[in-house]
Amino acid sequence: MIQKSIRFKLILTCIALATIPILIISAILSSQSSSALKDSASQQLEVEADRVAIAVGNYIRELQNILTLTAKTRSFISLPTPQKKQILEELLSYENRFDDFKLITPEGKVLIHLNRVHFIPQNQDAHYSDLEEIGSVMKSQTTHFGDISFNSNGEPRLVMTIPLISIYTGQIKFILFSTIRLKKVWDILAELSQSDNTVMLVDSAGNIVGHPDPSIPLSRRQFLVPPFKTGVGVTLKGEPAILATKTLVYEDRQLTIISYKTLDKALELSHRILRINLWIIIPALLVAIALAIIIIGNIIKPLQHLIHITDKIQQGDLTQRVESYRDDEFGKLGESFNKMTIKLQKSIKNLEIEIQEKAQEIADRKKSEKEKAILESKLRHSHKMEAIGTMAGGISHDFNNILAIILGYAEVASENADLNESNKNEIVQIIKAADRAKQLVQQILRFSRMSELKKDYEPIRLGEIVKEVLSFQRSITSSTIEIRHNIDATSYLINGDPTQIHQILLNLCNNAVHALEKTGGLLEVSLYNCSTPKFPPPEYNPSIREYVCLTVKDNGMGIKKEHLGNIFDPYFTTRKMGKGSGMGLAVTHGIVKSHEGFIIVESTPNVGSIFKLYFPAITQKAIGSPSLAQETPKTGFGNVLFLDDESLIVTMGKVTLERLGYSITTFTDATKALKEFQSAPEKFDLVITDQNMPKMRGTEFSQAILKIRPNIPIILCTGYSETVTQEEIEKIGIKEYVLKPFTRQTIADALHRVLQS
Amino acid sequence: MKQSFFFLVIKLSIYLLITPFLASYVFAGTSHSSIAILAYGAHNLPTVQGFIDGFKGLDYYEKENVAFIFNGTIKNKRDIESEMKKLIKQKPDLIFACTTPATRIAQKATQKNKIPVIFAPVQDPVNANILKNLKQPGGNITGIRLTDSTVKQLEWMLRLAPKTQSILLPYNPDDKSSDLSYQKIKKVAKLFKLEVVSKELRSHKDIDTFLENFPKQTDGIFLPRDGMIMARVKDFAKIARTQKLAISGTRFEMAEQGALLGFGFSGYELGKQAARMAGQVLRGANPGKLPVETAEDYLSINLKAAQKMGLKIPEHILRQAHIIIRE
Repeated sequence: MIQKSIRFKLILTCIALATIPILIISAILSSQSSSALKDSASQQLEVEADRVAIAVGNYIRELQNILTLTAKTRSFISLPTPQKKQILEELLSYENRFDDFKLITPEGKVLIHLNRVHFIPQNQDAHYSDLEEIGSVMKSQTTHFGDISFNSNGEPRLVMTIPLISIYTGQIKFILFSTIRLKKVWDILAELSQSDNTVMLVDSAGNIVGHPDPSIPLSRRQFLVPPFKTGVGVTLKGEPAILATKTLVYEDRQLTIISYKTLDKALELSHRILRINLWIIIPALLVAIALAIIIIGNIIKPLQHLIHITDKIQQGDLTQRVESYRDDEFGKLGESFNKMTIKLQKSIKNLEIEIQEKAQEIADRKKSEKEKAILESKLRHSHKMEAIGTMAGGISHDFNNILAIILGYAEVASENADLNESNKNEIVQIIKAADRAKQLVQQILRFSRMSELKKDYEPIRLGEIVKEVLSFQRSITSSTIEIRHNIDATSYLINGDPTQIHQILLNLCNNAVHALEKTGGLLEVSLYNCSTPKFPPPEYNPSIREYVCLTVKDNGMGIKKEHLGNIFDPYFTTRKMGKGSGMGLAVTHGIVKSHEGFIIVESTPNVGSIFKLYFPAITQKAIGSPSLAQETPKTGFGNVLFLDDESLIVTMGKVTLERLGYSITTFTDATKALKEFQSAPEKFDLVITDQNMPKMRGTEFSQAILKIRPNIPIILCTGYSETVTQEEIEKIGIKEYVLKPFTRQTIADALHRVLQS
Repeated sequence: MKQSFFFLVIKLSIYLLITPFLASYVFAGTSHSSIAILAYGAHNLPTVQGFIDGFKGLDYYEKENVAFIFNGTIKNKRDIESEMKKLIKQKPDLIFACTTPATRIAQKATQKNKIPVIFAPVQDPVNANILKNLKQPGGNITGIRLTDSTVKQLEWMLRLAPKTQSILLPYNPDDKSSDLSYQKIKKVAKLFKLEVVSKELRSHKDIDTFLENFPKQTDGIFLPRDGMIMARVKDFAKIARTQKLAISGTRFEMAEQGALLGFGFSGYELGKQAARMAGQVLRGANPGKLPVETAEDYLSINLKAAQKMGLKIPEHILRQAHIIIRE
């Protein structure tokens, strides 16, 4: 299109610039010269017609004069007829412009008849037939001309009649008829006709009687005399021509002289100018085209290159650059274009970076929002658990107190020697029941995460934890889901954190339950010893050979193959929004890994899944599992200050400790107890105080006591240790920490250890 | 528009290619022409010369733009056709035919090739069946005929030699023109109270035989418009001079050749007139549309011959002659 628009226009412009001035000049020159040539030709033709008119007029007049002189001299009239004949014969032979003579009397009798080429026999009775003409001559008594006629040769002839008047009578005595040959005029016309001009003679009837070309009058051609003196008409051949007319009057007759020149001939100079201009225009046109092609090529080429580059850039290739080595506007255009492209490239790059940043920011924000949501969810969960924990703590505190009373009195009662075996057995059942209640409280506290007192791993037996978790899980799971466990009693201990094990097992059970939620099914947890699997994951530790394998299996919907690789990714979840955080398996994986173990997952969609958790095995005995093994409590002596806001506890403690040999001073009010201790610090050997009390906490009380007597041993009893830590206890200087509800054995051991130390 | 541009270049190229041809057309000059001359009878040499000279005034110059193919005058009538064939082979642009027999053969030879033919002189082309209309000859032929002045020639002869009571009229009955002259003279003989003794001569041999045994039975010899007879005017003039006979020729030049008088066309002028017509044809005129022109007749008197005959020609008659041969 550019060729059509710019190249084409520029070429046309160049051609127009090269040729239009010449065309205009040549048109003006041609027009002016045409006009001038026409005028000149008209004048020339007019002059020529005048000259011919004069010559033809002279021709006729000369013959008229010759004949008149002949007739009037030498007494022609008076001469006898033979002499007249001789004179006329001589004249006819001498002057071959005459063709014929007739001498007649006024009555019409032919006296003499002579012809230049034909023999005319003499006839005495011959009479002239045209009486009308005789009458005209007789009437006018002057020379008379007749119409132009043509002889047998086709030559035009003019009849001239001269009256011969007697000088004596004044009467016409003879009439001399002569025939003038107009053929001789043709030679005059041929001589007077200038080159390219043609002059012809036309009579009143339109007959061409004279022409340089004898064939014209001989053909009896006619011509319509134009009404103008000079103007444009047509020739005999029908060609346009400039014509000039001149009327030749002789006596009462007239001839028209027409001089003409064809327009082609008249305007030949003008046409020549045109041809010369044409010869100028052609090279000019060629030069214009050549220049146009070269110059426009130079202009268009960089433009085409620029368009090519623009197209490339439009297609996205911003590395394209305009090649320009010129030092003109195109060079500058190319440089500017390149600068623009570079700037555009940079802008786009910056924009891309910005977009990437923004996208990252958005992704981060989304992630952050997601994390925030998870955190919020966790926080809510945490708050919920905190609430549960708070509630559980409160309940466990009271419950522990109650259990402590039950357990204490049951143990006291079991020592009663009066009891029979049946009663003793019943008391043992009470103690067992109390112990189970105690375990239950501990579980509640653990689930509420209020019992994370130990952070370091320790040898644990997973079987107990499995039972504990399943026991809890069963209580919160629909009856459509069957929960089974398969625990190998000989399974090794592992070195771990029971709480974390609790957590991961709970997570896996929850996932299994979720998988079985719609269809129901079987949830089976197994525990057994095993060695390193055939295809361990890359993170496994080759130095470890023996493992305890904990498996959680369900026959639920299974995990899609494409999801298997992502299930341990943080936040990965296939559940609906709000149904899962996506952190469960990630946490599980992390915990197992921190135990130097690993997880193998096998899952088939619509068949089920199995999670195999491998923990390095140890043979050390696990701790934490309370034992009801009966030992004889250690007895001792000494004054013990026993403080608890619960009077039943105080009573039960007094009974239990006094049976162990100790002297017990009890208080239910910390202030009174402190006052008492302050009054007599040396009175007491040991202080046992509850932690949670209305007016003063056990730790505060212990600090007050230790201020009074820094070395006095103190045992802190509590069922709810949220507000006190091991470090705090040690910092205050409390010697022992006993959880409620404690057994007689536990407190006895604690008293013994404190007093011994 | 690339296409427009492409087509523009093509158009210009074509224009440039045809320009030289246009230029050659614009600056073209007159082309070279060849003219064949078929002249029967040696007496026609002045006509041929007049024809060749006539071209000079028409801007045709021999060896420049015109070539004349002329192998000399043809003596025998039978040789005209073979000469015509020779000339035709050279593919002339125009044929100039001198005399009636030559014209008829030229007309016949150009029936197919339509080479233009200009004739001169032919006494009566209509009667000679060369054409039908003098104003519109038609075909490829036109030319110059002669004025019907045979009787006038006789009148002039009788005016110069008024005592003539009988004339010998040798003629070739095979020559249309000659026969026509004979018929005319025969027709007016009574009017002039003249005895006409005709002699049919069909060949130069006949003429030779006749001249060898010329009978003195007439007062004069009247030579008609016969190519063969006219070619022998000198021979007839010689006999006439010997036998003191008045002899008239049908051409202006014949007085120069020994005849008492010559009345008729000037061969040289006739040739020039024919050249003008030929020029018109060479410039493109259609010969069939050029009217047949008529030759001018002139009177020539051989005063020397008259004196030898003992004739005294009156002054008023001598004054009427265009040329008087005195020596």
